[in-house]
Amino acid sequence: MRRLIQLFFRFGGLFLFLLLEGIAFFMVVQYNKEQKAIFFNSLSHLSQYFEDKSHAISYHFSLETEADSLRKENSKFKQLLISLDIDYTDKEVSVFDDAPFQQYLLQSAKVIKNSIHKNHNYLILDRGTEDGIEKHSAVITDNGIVGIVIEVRKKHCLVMSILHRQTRVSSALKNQNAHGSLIWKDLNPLKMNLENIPKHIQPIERGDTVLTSGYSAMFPEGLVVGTVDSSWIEQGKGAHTITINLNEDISTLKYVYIVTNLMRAEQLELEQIINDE
Amino acid sequence: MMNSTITVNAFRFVILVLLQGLVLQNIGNDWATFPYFNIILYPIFIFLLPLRTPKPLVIFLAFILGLIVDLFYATPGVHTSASVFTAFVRPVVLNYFEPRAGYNANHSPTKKRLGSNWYIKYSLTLELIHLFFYFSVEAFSPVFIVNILIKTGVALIASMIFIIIHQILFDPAE
Repeated sequence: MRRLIQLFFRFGGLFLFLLLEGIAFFMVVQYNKEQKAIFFNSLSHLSQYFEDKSHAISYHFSLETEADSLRKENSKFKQLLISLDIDYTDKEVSVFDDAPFQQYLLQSAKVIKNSIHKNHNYLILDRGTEDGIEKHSAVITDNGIVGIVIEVRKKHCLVMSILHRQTRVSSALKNQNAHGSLIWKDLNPLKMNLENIPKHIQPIERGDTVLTSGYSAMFPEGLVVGTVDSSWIEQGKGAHTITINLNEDISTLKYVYIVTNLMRAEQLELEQIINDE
Repeated sequence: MMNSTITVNAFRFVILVLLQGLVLQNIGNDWATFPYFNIILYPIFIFLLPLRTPKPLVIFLAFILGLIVDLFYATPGVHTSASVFTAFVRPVVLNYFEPRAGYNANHSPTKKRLGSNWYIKYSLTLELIHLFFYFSVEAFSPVFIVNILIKTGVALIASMIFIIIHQILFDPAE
Protein backbone atom coordinates (compact mmCIF):
# COMPACT_ATOMS: atom_id res chain seq x y z
CA MET A 1 0.00 0.00 0.00
CA ARG A 2 2.82 2.38 0.91
CA ARG A 3 4.47 1.54 -2.39
CA LEU A 4 1.25 2.35 -4.20
CA ILE A 5 1.13 5.74 -2.52
CA GLN A 6 4.79 6.33 -3.34
CA LEU A 7 4.08 5.35 -6.90
CA PHE A 8 1.20 7.79 -7.03
CA PHE A 9 3.33 10.61 -5.69
CA ARG A 10 6.00 9.88 -8.23
CA PHE A 11 3.77 9.46 -11.26
CA GLY A 12 0.58 11.05 -9.93
CA GLY A 13 1.34 14.22 -11.88
CA LEU A 14 1.55 12.28 -15.09
CA PHE A 15 -1.63 10.30 -14.40
CA LEU A 16 -3.57 13.40 -13.47
CA PHE A 17 -2.16 15.27 -16.45
CA LEU A 18 -3.25 12.53 -18.87
CA LEU A 19 -6.66 12.26 -17.23
CA LEU A 20 -7.41 16.00 -17.21
CA GLU A 21 -5.93 16.53 -20.68
CA GLY A 22 -8.14 13.69 -21.86
CA ILE A 23 -11.19 15.35 -20.35
CA ALA A 24 -10.20 18.68 -21.90
CA PHE A 25 -9.81 17.15 -25.34
CA PHE A 26 -13.09 15.34 -24.98
CA MET A 27 -14.75 18.70 -24.26
CA VAL A 28 -12.92 20.33 -27.18
CA VAL A 29 -14.18 17.86 -29.75
CA GLN A 30 -17.57 17.48 -28.11
CA TYR A 31 -18.66 21.08 -27.55
CA ASN A 32 -16.77 23.09 -30.19
CA LYS A 33 -18.25 23.03 -33.66
CA GLU A 34 -15.09 23.60 -35.69
CA GLN A 35 -12.86 21.27 -33.73
CA LYS A 36 -15.60 18.65 -33.73
CA ALA A 37 -15.88 18.82 -37.51
CA ILE A 38 -12.11 18.63 -37.99
CA PHE A 39 -11.79 15.80 -35.48
CA PHE A 40 -14.45 13.58 -36.95
CA ASN A 41 -13.35 14.35 -40.47
CA SER A 42 -9.78 13.35 -39.59
CA LEU A 43 -11.08 10.29 -37.83
CA SER A 44 -12.92 9.14 -40.90
CA HIS A 45 -9.82 9.82 -43.01
CA LEU A 46 -7.75 7.83 -40.55
CA SER A 47 -10.14 4.91 -40.48
CA GLN A 48 -10.25 4.98 -44.26
CA TYR A 49 -6.47 4.92 -44.32
CA PHE A 50 -6.30 1.93 -41.97
CA GLU A 51 -8.99 0.16 -43.91
CA ASP A 52 -6.99 0.60 -47.10
CA LYS A 53 -3.83 -0.60 -45.40
CA SER A 54 -5.45 -3.65 -43.86
CA HIS A 55 -7.02 -4.41 -47.20
CA ALA A 56 -3.61 -4.22 -48.87
CA ILE A 57 -2.10 -6.45 -46.20
CA SER A 58 -4.83 -9.07 -46.38
CA TYR A 59 -4.52 -8.95 -50.16
CA HIS A 60 -0.81 -9.63 -49.79
CA PHE A 61 -1.48 -12.67 -47.64
CA SER A 62 -4.11 -13.98 -49.98
CA LEU A 63 -1.49 -13.84 -52.76
CA GLU A 64 0.12 -16.89 -51.19
CA THR A 65 -2.98 -19.04 -51.69
CA GLU A 66 -3.53 -17.40 -55.04
CA ALA A 67 -0.05 -18.39 -56.16
CA ASP A 68 -0.59 -21.87 -54.81
CA SER A 69 -3.74 -22.38 -56.85
CA LEU A 70 -1.99 -20.99 -59.92
CA ARG A 71 0.88 -23.42 -59.44
CA LYS A 72 -1.62 -26.27 -59.20
CA GLU A 73 -3.29 -25.15 -62.36
CA ASN A 74 0.08 -24.77 -64.03
CA SER A 75 1.06 -28.31 -63.10
CA LYS A 76 -2.14 -29.54 -64.71
CA PHE A 77 -1.32 -27.77 -67.96
CA LYS A 78 2.24 -28.98 -67.93
CA GLN A 79 1.02 -32.51 -67.31
CA LEU A 80 -1.25 -32.19 -70.29
CA LEU A 81 1.57 -30.90 -72.46
CA ILE A 82 3.89 -33.72 -71.51
CA SER A 83 1.15 -36.27 -72.09
CA LEU A 84 0.45 -34.73 -75.47
CA ASP A 85 4.12 -35.21 -76.28
CA ILE A 86 4.43 -31.66 -77.49
CA ASP A 87 7.73 -29.88 -77.32
CA TYR A 88 6.36 -26.97 -75.38
CA THR A 89 9.65 -25.12 -75.56
CA ASP A 90 8.76 -24.29 -79.15
CA LYS A 91 6.64 -21.24 -79.69
CA GLU A 92 4.17 -22.88 -82.04
CA VAL A 93 2.29 -25.62 -80.31
CA SER A 94 0.21 -28.04 -82.31
CA VAL A 95 -2.55 -29.96 -80.64
CA PHE A 96 -3.53 -33.38 -81.85
CA ASP A 97 -7.11 -34.38 -82.19
CA ASP A 98 -6.88 -37.81 -80.64
CA ALA A 99 -6.45 -37.38 -76.90
CA PRO A 100 -3.51 -39.51 -75.75
CA PHE A 101 -3.54 -41.69 -72.68
CA GLN A 102 -2.13 -40.08 -69.62
CA GLN A 103 1.30 -41.23 -68.57
CA TYR A 104 2.49 -38.54 -66.19
CA LEU A 105 0.94 -36.88 -63.18
CA LEU A 106 2.32 -33.55 -61.99
CA GLN A 107 2.10 -31.99 -58.57
CA SER A 108 3.56 -28.69 -57.50
CA ALA A 109 5.72 -28.69 -54.39
CA LYS A 110 7.66 -26.21 -52.33
CA VAL A 111 11.38 -26.62 -51.70
CA ILE A 112 12.01 -26.75 -47.95
CA LYS A 113 15.68 -27.61 -47.92
CA ASN A 114 18.27 -27.47 -50.63
CA SER A 115 22.02 -27.98 -50.82
CA ILE A 116 24.40 -27.46 -53.73
CA HIS A 117 27.89 -27.33 -52.27
CA LYS A 118 28.43 -30.95 -51.25
CA ASN A 119 29.44 -33.99 -53.25
CA HIS A 120 26.02 -35.45 -52.71
CA ASN A 121 23.26 -32.89 -52.69
CA TYR A 122 19.68 -33.40 -51.61
CA LEU A 123 16.45 -31.45 -51.47
CA ILE A 124 13.44 -31.79 -49.20
CA LEU A 125 10.00 -30.99 -50.58
CA ASP A 126 6.72 -30.43 -48.78
CA ARG A 127 4.82 -33.32 -50.38
CA GLY A 128 4.64 -36.91 -49.15
CA THR A 129 2.64 -40.11 -49.17
CA GLU A 130 -0.45 -38.15 -48.20
CA ASP A 131 -0.21 -36.39 -51.56
CA GLY A 132 0.39 -39.66 -53.39
CA ILE A 133 4.09 -39.12 -53.99
CA GLU A 134 6.00 -42.31 -54.83
CA LYS A 135 9.62 -43.24 -54.64
CA HIS A 136 11.60 -42.72 -57.87
CA SER A 137 9.37 -39.93 -59.11
CA ALA A 138 11.13 -37.23 -61.10
CA VAL A 139 11.35 -33.63 -59.90
CA ILE A 140 11.38 -30.92 -62.56
CA THR A 141 10.77 -27.21 -63.02
CA ASP A 142 9.63 -25.10 -65.91
CA ASN A 143 13.22 -24.69 -67.02
CA GLY A 144 14.85 -27.99 -66.34
CA ILE A 145 15.24 -31.08 -64.23
CA VAL A 146 15.98 -31.15 -60.52
CA GLY A 147 16.29 -34.70 -59.24
CA ILE A 148 14.71 -37.97 -58.21
CA VAL A 149 12.57 -38.69 -55.15
CA ILE A 150 14.42 -41.29 -53.08
CA GLU A 151 12.53 -41.35 -49.79
CA VAL A 152 8.92 -40.50 -49.01
CA ARG A 153 7.41 -39.76 -45.62
CA LYS A 154 3.92 -38.67 -44.64
CA LYS A 155 4.22 -35.01 -45.54
CA HIS A 156 7.69 -34.62 -47.01
CA CYS A 157 9.95 -36.31 -49.46
CA LEU A 158 13.70 -36.47 -49.92
CA VAL A 159 15.03 -35.73 -53.39
CA MET A 160 18.42 -36.69 -54.70
CA SER A 161 19.52 -33.64 -56.61
CA ILE A 162 21.01 -34.00 -60.09
CA LEU A 163 23.97 -32.25 -58.44
CA HIS A 164 25.01 -35.62 -57.00
CA ARG A 165 28.08 -37.69 -57.77
CA GLN A 166 25.97 -40.73 -58.61
CA THR A 167 23.55 -39.01 -60.94
CA ARG A 168 23.06 -40.73 -64.29
CA VAL A 169 20.32 -39.17 -66.38
CA SER A 170 19.73 -40.47 -69.84
CA SER A 171 19.84 -37.43 -72.12
CA ALA A 172 20.00 -36.58 -75.75
CA LEU A 173 21.19 -33.80 -78.01
CA LYS A 174 18.16 -32.31 -79.63
CA ASN A 175 19.67 -31.75 -83.06
CA GLN A 176 21.56 -35.05 -83.37
CA ASN A 177 19.17 -37.30 -81.49
CA ALA A 178 22.20 -39.00 -79.96
CA HIS A 179 21.88 -40.43 -76.47
CA GLY A 180 24.28 -40.16 -73.60
CA SER A 181 24.20 -39.89 -69.85
CA LEU A 182 24.34 -36.77 -67.80
CA ILE A 183 26.74 -36.74 -64.85
CA TRP A 184 27.91 -34.15 -62.39
CA LYS A 185 31.58 -34.07 -61.57
CA ASP A 186 32.80 -30.45 -61.46
CA LEU A 187 31.07 -29.46 -58.24
CA ASN A 188 29.75 -26.46 -60.11
CA PRO A 189 26.01 -26.12 -59.52
CA LEU A 190 25.51 -24.54 -62.94
CA LYS A 191 27.36 -27.12 -65.05
CA MET A 192 27.06 -30.82 -65.81
CA ASN A 193 28.73 -33.23 -68.20
CA LEU A 194 27.24 -35.29 -70.97
CA GLU A 195 29.08 -38.56 -71.56
CA ASN A 196 28.94 -41.46 -73.95
CA ILE A 197 27.98 -39.48 -77.05
CA PRO A 198 29.77 -41.49 -79.78
CA LYS A 199 32.67 -39.85 -81.59
CA HIS A 200 31.03 -40.06 -85.01
CA ILE A 201 28.22 -37.75 -84.04
CA GLN A 202 29.23 -34.47 -85.64
CA PRO A 203 29.02 -31.54 -85.37
CA ILE A 204 28.31 -30.65 -81.78
CA GLU A 205 28.12 -26.94 -81.35
CA ARG A 206 28.03 -24.58 -78.48
CA GLY A 207 24.42 -23.75 -77.64
CA ASP A 208 22.91 -27.06 -78.77
CA THR A 209 19.96 -28.02 -76.61
CA VAL A 210 20.20 -31.04 -74.34
CA LEU A 211 16.95 -32.86 -73.53
CA THR A 212 16.01 -35.80 -71.36
CA SER A 213 15.74 -38.87 -73.52
CA GLY A 214 13.07 -40.89 -71.82
CA TYR A 215 15.12 -44.09 -71.90
CA SER A 216 15.05 -44.03 -68.15
CA ALA A 217 11.78 -44.62 -66.41
CA MET A 218 12.33 -41.54 -64.29
CA PHE A 219 12.12 -38.39 -66.38
CA PRO A 220 9.56 -37.74 -69.09
CA GLU A 221 11.02 -37.45 -72.52
CA GLY A 222 11.93 -34.13 -74.07
CA LEU A 223 12.47 -31.94 -71.01
CA VAL A 224 15.07 -29.27 -71.57
CA VAL A 225 18.12 -29.77 -69.38
CA GLY A 226 20.53 -27.15 -70.69
CA THR A 227 22.74 -26.13 -73.56
CA VAL A 228 26.15 -27.30 -74.71
CA ASP A 229 28.94 -25.15 -73.35
CA SER A 230 31.94 -26.85 -74.88
CA SER A 231 32.82 -30.21 -76.41
CA TRP A 232 36.01 -31.95 -77.45
CA ILE A 233 37.27 -35.46 -78.07
CA GLU A 234 39.96 -36.70 -75.76
CA GLN A 235 42.76 -38.66 -77.32
CA GLY A 236 42.14 -42.38 -77.37
CA LYS A 237 38.53 -42.14 -76.40
CA GLY A 238 35.53 -43.09 -78.43
CA ALA A 239 33.21 -40.45 -77.12
CA HIS A 240 32.83 -36.70 -76.84
CA THR A 241 33.52 -34.89 -73.61
CA ILE A 242 30.76 -32.34 -73.36
CA THR A 243 30.11 -29.76 -70.65
CA ILE A 244 26.69 -28.25 -70.56
CA ASN A 245 25.20 -25.19 -68.88
CA LEU A 246 22.16 -26.08 -66.85
CA ASN A 247 19.04 -24.19 -67.76
CA GLU A 248 17.80 -24.02 -64.20
CA ASP A 249 19.84 -22.54 -61.36
CA ILE A 250 19.18 -25.16 -58.70
CA SER A 251 20.54 -22.95 -55.93
CA THR A 252 17.60 -20.55 -56.27
CA LEU A 253 14.77 -23.08 -56.50
CA LYS A 254 11.55 -22.29 -54.66
CA TYR A 255 8.84 -24.31 -56.36
CA VAL A 256 9.13 -27.51 -58.33
CA TYR A 257 6.89 -30.16 -59.89
CA ILE A 258 6.94 -33.79 -58.88
CA VAL A 259 6.29 -36.09 -61.83
CA THR A 260 4.73 -39.47 -61.16
CA ASN A 261 5.09 -41.92 -64.00
CA LEU A 262 1.88 -43.93 -64.14
CA MET A 263 3.40 -46.46 -66.54
CA ARG A 264 6.47 -46.99 -64.45
CA ALA A 265 5.43 -50.35 -63.03
CA GLU A 266 4.84 -51.71 -66.50
CA GLN A 267 8.12 -50.39 -67.77
CA LEU A 268 10.03 -51.84 -64.85
CA GLU A 269 8.35 -55.18 -65.27
CA LEU A 270 9.67 -55.38 -68.81
CA GLU A 271 13.11 -54.28 -67.73
CA GLN A 272 13.03 -57.00 -65.12
CA ILE A 273 12.70 -59.57 -67.89
CA ILE A 274 15.93 -58.29 -69.44
CA ASN A 275 17.72 -58.55 -66.11
CA ASP A 276 16.41 -62.03 -65.46
CA GLU A 277 17.71 -63.40 -68.68
CA MET B 1 2.88 32.53 6.12
CA MET B 2 1.09 29.44 4.83
CA ASN B 3 -2.29 31.11 5.01
CA SER B 4 -1.12 34.28 3.36
CA THR B 5 0.25 32.28 0.41
CA ILE B 6 -3.06 30.55 -0.07
CA THR B 7 -4.95 33.82 0.25
CA VAL B 8 -2.72 35.59 -2.25
CA ASN B 9 -3.07 32.81 -4.78
CA ALA B 10 -6.83 32.48 -4.31
CA PHE B 11 -7.17 36.22 -4.73
CA ARG B 12 -4.94 36.15 -7.81
CA PHE B 13 -7.01 33.31 -9.25
CA VAL B 14 -10.25 35.27 -9.00
CA ILE B 15 -8.79 38.56 -10.27
CA LEU B 16 -7.04 36.89 -13.24
CA VAL B 17 -10.13 34.95 -14.28
CA LEU B 18 -12.29 38.08 -14.15
CA LEU B 19 -9.66 40.21 -15.89
CA GLN B 20 -9.19 37.65 -18.65
CA GLY B 21 -12.85 36.85 -19.09
CA LEU B 22 -14.34 40.32 -18.84
CA VAL B 23 -11.61 42.69 -20.03
CA LEU B 24 -8.77 41.08 -22.00
CA GLN B 25 -11.05 38.84 -24.02
CA ASN B 26 -12.86 41.93 -25.36
CA ILE B 27 -9.65 43.79 -26.18
CA GLY B 28 -8.74 40.89 -28.46
CA ASN B 29 -12.22 40.70 -29.94
CA ASP B 30 -12.55 44.46 -30.53
CA TRP B 31 -9.42 44.56 -32.60
CA ALA B 32 -11.35 43.68 -35.73
CA THR B 33 -8.72 44.87 -38.19
CA PHE B 34 -5.99 42.77 -36.66
CA PRO B 35 -7.48 39.36 -35.84
CA TYR B 36 -4.24 37.86 -34.56
CA PHE B 37 -4.22 40.10 -31.51
CA ASN B 38 -4.85 38.28 -28.25
CA ILE B 39 -3.79 38.93 -24.69
CA ILE B 40 -3.60 35.79 -22.58
CA LEU B 41 -2.65 36.78 -19.07
CA TYR B 42 -4.31 34.20 -16.82
CA PRO B 43 -1.50 31.57 -17.10
CA ILE B 44 0.63 33.66 -14.70
CA PHE B 45 -1.46 32.09 -11.95
CA ILE B 46 0.19 28.80 -12.90
CA PHE B 47 3.61 30.47 -13.23
CA LEU B 48 3.46 32.01 -9.79
CA LEU B 49 2.23 29.05 -7.72
CA PRO B 50 4.67 28.37 -4.85
CA LEU B 51 7.57 26.09 -5.69
CA ARG B 52 6.55 23.57 -3.04
CA THR B 53 3.08 23.05 -4.57
CA PRO B 54 2.72 19.32 -5.40
CA LYS B 55 2.70 18.61 -9.13
CA PRO B 56 -0.77 17.03 -9.17
CA LEU B 57 -2.19 20.06 -7.33
CA VAL B 58 -0.67 22.45 -9.89
CA ILE B 59 -2.23 20.43 -12.69
CA PHE B 60 -5.58 20.25 -10.93
CA LEU B 61 -5.67 24.01 -10.24
CA ALA B 62 -4.72 24.70 -13.84
CA PHE B 63 -7.59 22.49 -14.94
CA ILE B 64 -10.09 24.48 -12.84
CA LEU B 65 -8.57 27.76 -14.04
CA GLY B 66 -8.81 26.78 -17.69
CA LEU B 67 -12.34 25.49 -17.22
CA ILE B 68 -13.57 28.82 -15.85
CA VAL B 69 -11.77 30.85 -18.51
CA ASP B 70 -13.36 28.55 -21.08
CA LEU B 71 -16.77 29.42 -19.65
CA PHE B 72 -16.11 33.10 -20.47
CA TYR B 73 -14.74 32.27 -23.93
CA ALA B 74 -17.51 29.73 -24.66
CA THR B 75 -14.87 27.30 -25.92
CA PRO B 76 -15.12 24.28 -23.60
CA GLY B 77 -11.82 22.47 -23.25
CA VAL B 78 -9.60 24.72 -25.37
CA HIS B 79 -8.12 26.86 -22.58
CA THR B 80 -8.38 23.90 -20.22
CA SER B 81 -6.14 21.67 -22.30
CA ALA B 82 -3.56 24.44 -22.72
CA SER B 83 -3.55 25.23 -18.98
CA VAL B 84 -3.19 21.60 -17.99
CA PHE B 85 -0.30 21.23 -20.41
CA THR B 86 1.40 24.39 -19.13
CA ALA B 87 1.05 23.11 -15.56
CA PHE B 88 2.51 19.79 -16.62
CA VAL B 89 5.63 21.33 -18.18
CA ARG B 90 6.13 23.92 -15.41
CA PRO B 91 8.46 21.64 -13.37
CA VAL B 92 10.50 20.93 -16.50
CA VAL B 93 10.97 24.64 -17.22
CA LEU B 94 11.74 25.32 -13.56
CA ASN B 95 14.34 22.58 -13.65
CA TYR B 96 15.88 24.01 -16.78
CA PHE B 97 16.21 27.53 -15.38
CA GLU B 98 17.30 26.44 -11.91
CA PRO B 99 19.84 28.94 -10.52
CA ARG B 100 23.22 27.64 -9.41
CA ALA B 101 22.24 28.11 -5.74
CA GLY B 102 19.01 26.15 -6.28
CA TYR B 103 15.51 27.17 -5.28
CA ASN B 104 14.17 27.96 -1.87
CA ALA B 105 11.20 25.61 -1.73
CA ASN B 106 9.22 28.05 0.42
CA HIS B 107 9.36 30.80 -2.19
CA SER B 108 7.27 31.45 -5.25
CA PRO B 109 8.96 31.95 -8.64
CA THR B 110 8.64 35.76 -8.81
CA LYS B 111 10.80 38.63 -10.01
CA LYS B 112 11.39 39.70 -6.43
CA ARG B 113 12.72 36.30 -5.38
CA LEU B 114 14.71 35.28 -8.44
CA GLY B 115 15.46 38.47 -10.37
CA SER B 116 13.84 40.13 -13.37
CA ASN B 117 16.18 38.44 -15.84
CA TRP B 118 15.25 35.01 -14.57
CA TYR B 119 11.57 35.83 -14.39
CA ILE B 120 11.43 37.06 -18.01
CA LYS B 121 13.13 33.90 -19.29
CA TYR B 122 10.87 31.71 -17.20
CA SER B 123 7.58 33.41 -18.04
CA LEU B 124 8.49 33.83 -21.71
CA THR B 125 9.12 30.10 -22.07
CA LEU B 126 5.94 29.04 -20.31
CA GLU B 127 3.83 31.67 -22.04
CA LEU B 128 5.17 30.55 -25.42
CA ILE B 129 4.33 26.92 -24.65
CA HIS B 130 0.89 27.89 -23.39
CA LEU B 131 0.06 30.08 -26.39
CA PHE B 132 1.32 27.62 -28.96
CA PHE B 133 -0.68 24.82 -27.37
CA TYR B 134 -3.74 27.01 -27.04
CA PHE B 135 -3.75 28.21 -30.65
CA SER B 136 -3.00 24.69 -31.87
CA VAL B 137 -6.03 23.34 -30.09
CA GLU B 138 -8.07 26.29 -31.27
CA ALA B 139 -7.18 25.65 -34.92
CA PHE B 140 -7.09 21.88 -34.34
CA SER B 141 -5.29 21.02 -37.55
CA PRO B 142 -1.65 21.20 -38.67
CA VAL B 143 -2.98 22.73 -41.90
CA PHE B 144 -3.18 26.09 -40.10
CA ILE B 145 0.39 25.98 -38.78
CA VAL B 146 1.35 29.39 -40.28
CA ASN B 147 -1.73 30.97 -38.78
CA ILE B 148 -0.95 29.33 -35.43
CA LEU B 149 2.61 30.61 -35.45
CA ILE B 150 1.59 34.19 -36.32
CA LYS B 151 -1.08 34.20 -33.62
CA THR B 152 1.38 32.78 -31.10
CA GLY B 153 4.03 35.36 -31.95
CA VAL B 154 1.70 38.36 -31.78
CA ALA B 155 -0.05 37.17 -28.62
CA LEU B 156 3.29 36.39 -27.00
CA ILE B 157 4.55 39.95 -27.45
CA ALA B 158 1.28 41.51 -26.30
CA SER B 159 0.94 39.19 -23.30
CA MET B 160 4.55 39.56 -22.20
CA ILE B 161 4.07 43.31 -21.90
CA PHE B 162 1.23 42.73 -19.45
CA ILE B 163 3.12 40.00 -17.59
CA ILE B 164 6.09 42.36 -17.05
CA ILE B 165 3.84 45.27 -16.11
CA HIS B 166 2.17 43.04 -13.53
CA GLN B 167 5.50 42.23 -11.90
CA ILE B 168 6.71 45.83 -11.93
CA LEU B 169 3.44 47.14 -10.60
CA PHE B 170 2.89 44.69 -7.76
CA ASP B 171 6.32 43.10 -7.34
CA PRO B 172 4.77 40.23 -5.38
CA ALA B 173 6.81 38.06 -3.06
CA GLU B 174 4.26 35.29 -3.17
